[in-house]
Amino acid sequence: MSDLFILIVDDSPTMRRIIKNTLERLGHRESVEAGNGKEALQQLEEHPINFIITDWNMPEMNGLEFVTELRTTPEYEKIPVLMITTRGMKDDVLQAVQAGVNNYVVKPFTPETLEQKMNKLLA
Amino acid sequence: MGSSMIKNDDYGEIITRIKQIKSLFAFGEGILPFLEELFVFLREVSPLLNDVSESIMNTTGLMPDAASELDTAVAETTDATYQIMNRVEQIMSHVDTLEMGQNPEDMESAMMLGEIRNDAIAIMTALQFHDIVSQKLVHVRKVMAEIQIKMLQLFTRVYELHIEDEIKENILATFGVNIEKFHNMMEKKINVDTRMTADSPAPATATKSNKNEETPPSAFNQNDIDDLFG
Repeated sequence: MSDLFILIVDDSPTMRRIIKNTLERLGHRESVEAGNGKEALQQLEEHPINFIITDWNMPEMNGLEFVTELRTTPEYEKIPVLMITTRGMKDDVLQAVQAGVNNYVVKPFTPETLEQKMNKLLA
Repeated sequence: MGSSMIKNDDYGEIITRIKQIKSLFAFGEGILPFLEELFVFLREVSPLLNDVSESIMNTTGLMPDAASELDTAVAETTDATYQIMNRVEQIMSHVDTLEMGQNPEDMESAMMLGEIRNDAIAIMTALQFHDIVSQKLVHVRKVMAEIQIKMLQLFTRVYELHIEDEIKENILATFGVNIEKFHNMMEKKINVDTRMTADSPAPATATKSNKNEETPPSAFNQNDIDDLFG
């Protein structure tokens, strides 16, 4: 049983469900969801989250804004963030890294890729 | 006979008229090839212009239908995706139950259950394509709404020009605008932009921000990204 409490941030309920299911199959059963960066910040206040998976393109507060906000908050600045997005341009990845994303996966992802990326971040 | 007499002045007048007619003919000779070319141009190009105008009219007229079809497509595929997901989750739940009550020595069953689980997970992850395609459809939908708005802004701008009504109507007619309806609409002081936006609401998923997928400077694949992160 994993000791991770994962926050899944994506405005698509379909994607959230896919990620949640995949995580459960990988043994990570503790997770909460958010539809955008603002909701994600609220979830962070309410739960002992220690790993974040976020999309980039979201309404209200996108993934990049969310991560930027996260990295300027001492409480959350060390939480590993994995970005899963359809944006696969070089500039996008570099922007994400600059904002504070720890690793990056382009959709569609496989469970193996997700597992490998998470293990790398948690090692 | 005074009335039948032709005065000198009259001669002068006649000569002047003849000269005018002659010069007109001379001008006519010069302009005739141009007029012929113009007639040929009009004969050949007019149908094309009509087609273009009709095409614009049809295109703008069909946009609300196309937009609505895209919305429906997104909604229907979302429903279908959810149904598939429900079934896949049920299958995975059954597999879990079967595994719990399984004889630990029955390796063959264990292997089969493992395969079913893997297949179910593969179906689940394949459903990501729904989200990716939906995002693209939503983007197309937004572009269409933008074009509709711009077209109506253009028509409104032309309508509000301080030029003769006939010219104005001709310009609008070129775009296939129903002048009478448009006039009525303007008379009722309907804000066409607001109306268009209100008539064509983007689907719920259309709220995605920064979905602009303009020509990228360079594309990264997952391997490049992996290299970058080490």
